[in-house]
Amino acid sequence: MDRRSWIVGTVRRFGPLLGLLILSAVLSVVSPYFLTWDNILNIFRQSAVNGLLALGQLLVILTAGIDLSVGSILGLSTVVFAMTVKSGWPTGVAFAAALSCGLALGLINGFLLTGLKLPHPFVSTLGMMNVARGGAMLLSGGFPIPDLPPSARYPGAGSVAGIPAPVVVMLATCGVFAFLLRQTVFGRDVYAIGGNPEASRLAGIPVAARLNAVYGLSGLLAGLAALLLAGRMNAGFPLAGAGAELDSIAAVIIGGASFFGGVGTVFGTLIGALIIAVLRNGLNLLNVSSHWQMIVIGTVIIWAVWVDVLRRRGAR
Amino acid sequence: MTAPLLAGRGIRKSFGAAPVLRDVTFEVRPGEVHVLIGANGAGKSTLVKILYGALRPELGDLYWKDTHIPGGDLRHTAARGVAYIPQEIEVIPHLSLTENLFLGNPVRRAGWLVDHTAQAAAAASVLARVGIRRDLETKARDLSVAEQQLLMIGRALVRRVEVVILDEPTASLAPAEVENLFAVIRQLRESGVGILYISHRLDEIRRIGDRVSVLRGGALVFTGPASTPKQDLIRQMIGHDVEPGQARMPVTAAPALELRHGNLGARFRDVSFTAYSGEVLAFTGLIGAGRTSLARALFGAEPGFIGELRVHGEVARFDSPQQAIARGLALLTENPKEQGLVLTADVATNISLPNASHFSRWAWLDHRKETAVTTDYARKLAVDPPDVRRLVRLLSGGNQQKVVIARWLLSGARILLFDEPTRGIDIGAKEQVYDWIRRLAGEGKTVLLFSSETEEVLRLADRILVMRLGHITAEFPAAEATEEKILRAAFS
Repeated sequence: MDRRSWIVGTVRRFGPLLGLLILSAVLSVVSPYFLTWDNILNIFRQSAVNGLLALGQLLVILTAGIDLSVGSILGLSTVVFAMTVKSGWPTGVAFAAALSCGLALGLINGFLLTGLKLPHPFVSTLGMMNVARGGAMLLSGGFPIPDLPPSARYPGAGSVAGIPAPVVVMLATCGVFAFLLRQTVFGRDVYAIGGNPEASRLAGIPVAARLNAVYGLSGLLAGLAALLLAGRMNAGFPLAGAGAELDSIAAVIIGGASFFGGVGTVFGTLIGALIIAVLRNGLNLLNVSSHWQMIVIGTVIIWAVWVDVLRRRGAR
Repeated sequence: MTAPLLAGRGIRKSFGAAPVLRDVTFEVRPGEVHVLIGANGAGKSTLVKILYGALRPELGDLYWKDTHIPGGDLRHTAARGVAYIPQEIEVIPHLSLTENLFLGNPVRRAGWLVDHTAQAAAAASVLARVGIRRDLETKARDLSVAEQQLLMIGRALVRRVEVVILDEPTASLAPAEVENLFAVIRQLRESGVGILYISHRLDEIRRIGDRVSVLRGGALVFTGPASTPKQDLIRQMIGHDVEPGQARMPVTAAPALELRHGNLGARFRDVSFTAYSGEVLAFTGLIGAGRTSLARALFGAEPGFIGELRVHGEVARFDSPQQAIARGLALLTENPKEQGLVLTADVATNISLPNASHFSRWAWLDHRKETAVTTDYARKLAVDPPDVRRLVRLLSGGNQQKVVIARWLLSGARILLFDEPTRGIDIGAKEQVYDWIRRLAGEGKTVLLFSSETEEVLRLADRILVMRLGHITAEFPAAEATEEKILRAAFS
């Protein structure tokens, strides 16, 4: 039993990383361009937005919940950001506006769950997904809001010491959230709530307050991702992030988190986001059509969930 | 004498090393109501499961009208007309009466279509038989509890039945509803159906039964006419050696936890008690008497709870377990796996859940300190192995229970609510838990022990309160308590 649980633990911890390395090795053999510095930066840059959304999604999934609204919140936040900056406010205010927009909608998600006690976050965040997208269309009239000033574009398009700014933002945020989950009482509570909400409540954990914070943070991260995406696209775009919630869920699950809650890491999620980016990038380099890419990524998701089921069965 | 419809002969069964049934022979004859009684844990439900084919006996045989049938196979018993009606009501609330009656067993037309006409006709006749006077399209959720119970009997009658097993059918019924149910049972008996009736109410036996059997410690110790005096039945249930409780130090200390007029919906009513520092106060009674609800309510985990609560003399009101913990309460839940532990986490985390402030400054968690402190407590409680970074689900049931106790020792709780602390754990761990309960009381803490195991209660408690159907029906100091007195108060 000891040895088996050690193997299970190791696979859980390093399985996704191993997958990423094998995938990269294969791609670097079939495509000489794959392992160039430019392409690697490219992959990281492409994974930044999804990486941030996935961090929020990770928190939510750790509590055995789900957040379907992050893509729409991202879209709305890009619009809010672009409109604020275009109407003459300083860039800093526009940053704050986008982040507040994400945080506020996330907190509403939390309130729907803990205040109105809607049965499952699937329902409440599905509602929010539509509301936020509709709001983005309404505010923007359905059109992109292009041509942002350079200072506003910096988080998405700038660079720090040769490293693209979005990559720096994503890695820094990963660091903060790894710390939050691993080293703080809040993180401890999040894992406990996902593992057993009733036991957590009976152990005196303020479950509702923690869930509100979790959904709030998920929204906030969508707002942060909006800054990167708007900068990269040089526009606020009401349709931005359509379907992004699904990519973020995929990254979390591929990264070894359990859909049943209580299990998952920031590192795994980062690897999950990178795996998705590498698959896209590699298949592009190989000129595989985007339709096939969807099929491949879908298969990987199903496989990852199946691995989770096997692990749970093995744990019995 | 008529041949029995269903019989188990020489039935033996054990779970792990513990024998649950030893050489039990039990029969149900046509046209009789055979009542089965016994204390909690006597083996009643195991015997019943074997009789209706849900569980395979280790040794012994099942007979249907004197023909041997294989054990542990529902197809053999169900096909011959054995129906089991569980205590919990299992109707589908949003389906109609007809749909509930024919659940999984529709009247078919052309093999795969539902014959609604035939179904409605059959439903009407079954509902009349069980005495439900309602429209066929009524949803099951609109029925009273008593009617839902009858509906479950009706579901059995839809098929051809010859033996009906009723598991404590009157547990949640009012007296008038009980009479109604009895009328249905008598009518079934007259039509030649054999009925096995499990009961916790001794006064029912005479009213509905023909014969009564007593299980004690897995053995069938008595079978006789339903007119057997209550006294004799109680003696049979507990055996002949009635032990007096151990005398203990008199309790002189201050009141730690007081409740006046505690109410929680239909679960318990007008419960009042005072628990003193340094005592073990036991709440016992049959399963379903309201103990668990009371423990949870005291801990702030039942929103509907009303009552005057005082903690160390000060008025208290707990809207959440968090507040109860802050006032020095602790709850050891009856099912640690489901309500006590986070199985996805390690031992240290499970010990430190309500105690994070011991290891954190601001919000920062000091893992090294956590490991050191929780290891200390794990050793103190002899958690095996004492590796606190091990996942708690890899531990045995007894060790998991110790992890929960360690949690509350660390929290410094002064009032500990222990709900069935030794259910399902092995004897070694049981003894250790007993030691801890006595030790905690010895340190001046207050232990409220909620337990259905009379033996455990007699051994540990300074005072014993017996609950029955949500009321406290008797109080005994340990010195005066006997198993007989407790059982009498519990069964009434």
